[in-house]
Amino acid sequence: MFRKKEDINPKMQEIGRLLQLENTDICLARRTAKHIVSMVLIGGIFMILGNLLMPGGPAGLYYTAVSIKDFQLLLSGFL
Amino acid sequence: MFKKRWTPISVVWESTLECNMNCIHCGASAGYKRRDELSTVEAKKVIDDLKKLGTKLVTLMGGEPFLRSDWFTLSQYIRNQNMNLTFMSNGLLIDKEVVSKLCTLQPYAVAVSIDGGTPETHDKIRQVPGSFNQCLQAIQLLRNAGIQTSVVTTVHKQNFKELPLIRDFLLDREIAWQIQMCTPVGRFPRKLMLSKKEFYAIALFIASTRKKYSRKQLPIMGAHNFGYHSQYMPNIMLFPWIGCQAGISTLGIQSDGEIQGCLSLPDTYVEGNVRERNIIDIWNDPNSFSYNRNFNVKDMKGDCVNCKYKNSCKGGCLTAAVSISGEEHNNPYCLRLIENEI
Repeated sequence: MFRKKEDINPKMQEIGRLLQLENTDICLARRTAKHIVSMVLIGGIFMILGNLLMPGGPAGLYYTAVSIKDFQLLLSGFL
Repeated sequence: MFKKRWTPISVVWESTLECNMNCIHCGASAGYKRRDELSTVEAKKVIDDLKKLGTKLVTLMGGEPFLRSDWFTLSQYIRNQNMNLTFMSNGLLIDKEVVSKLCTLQPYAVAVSIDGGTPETHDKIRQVPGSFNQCLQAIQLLRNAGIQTSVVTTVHKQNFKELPLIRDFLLDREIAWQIQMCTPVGRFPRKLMLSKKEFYAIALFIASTRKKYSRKQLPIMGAHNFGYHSQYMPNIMLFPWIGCQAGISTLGIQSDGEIQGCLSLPDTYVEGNVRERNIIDIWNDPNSFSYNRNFNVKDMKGDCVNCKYKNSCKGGCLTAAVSISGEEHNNPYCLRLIENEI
């Protein structure tokens, strides 16, 4: 169940202060409608095309230590 | 197309447990070699078998992988089998000579651990004076040689506040940055573990950094223990979380030939030893890696039981779950769960 934005924002800001994050940083960290839509779409496409085209399947090659190449894999620009 | 593929796509190999650092958080308690580490001939046999199993990427780690005298021989052997190769190093031994050898290998990545934004913090955690500056030099050498370079930062109470400093250093250097939470395994003392709020703050840091800087400026990601299914933040891992991959698409090999789904799991999760059974047989054994391969949603425990993502999430990182809660498929360090608590 989603809480109202005004309820969670102060909590996130309070937690963010542990790492000296400004309120603007918290705004940047928030998920947007664009994220939600793209995650739904891309998640579905990812599971199908990932099986076919990704070198490591939908889990990718990455496991223990990431490479810049992992960021360049299929559809990664959307995620 | 959708049939279950149990292929060890990504293999993490502790080539030796010997290490020239003494990090307070080391999950492998590295330092000395294991009593009977695999010989070059035995290791080559394992590499042959991995190729047959369909492995695409081998990550050599330790201990410190460059301490193994035959590291280059084994690396060449892996590359000659047309498998990708990543190194995970503490950076101390990466000099011009090592870099020139690495250039011939064209590794997928060379990852160097940076655990502080200042020499004091990094050196204190790694217990080697001067190591911070040596690591930076190693990173510079790697970048100058055009080698794909990554930095891995393991966060706990002693260093998480320095993440902004590390970020400032890594900006615009074409270095991938992986941030992972330290869990109480190996010699890491539980008292230094992040609180849930600190954990959440780091997730906010990663999410905001991703938004603030382009992927080219700073490719940053949270590791597998930085999830899952937040209600308020986008995914901060590299790919959508599809459950722990230990024994599904990943495999861990200890330097003495013990086989696990993931090297960070405790020794009770060893499935066999390549000296007693062929690694192909261990992998294909229907009884191996049952915690993931035979996962049933009824296996969920703790607050994960009530989560709507439990079927695919399986309780997040298995190592985090086991080491923190003492139970499989019960991971209290979950962004979604924390959001319900705050």
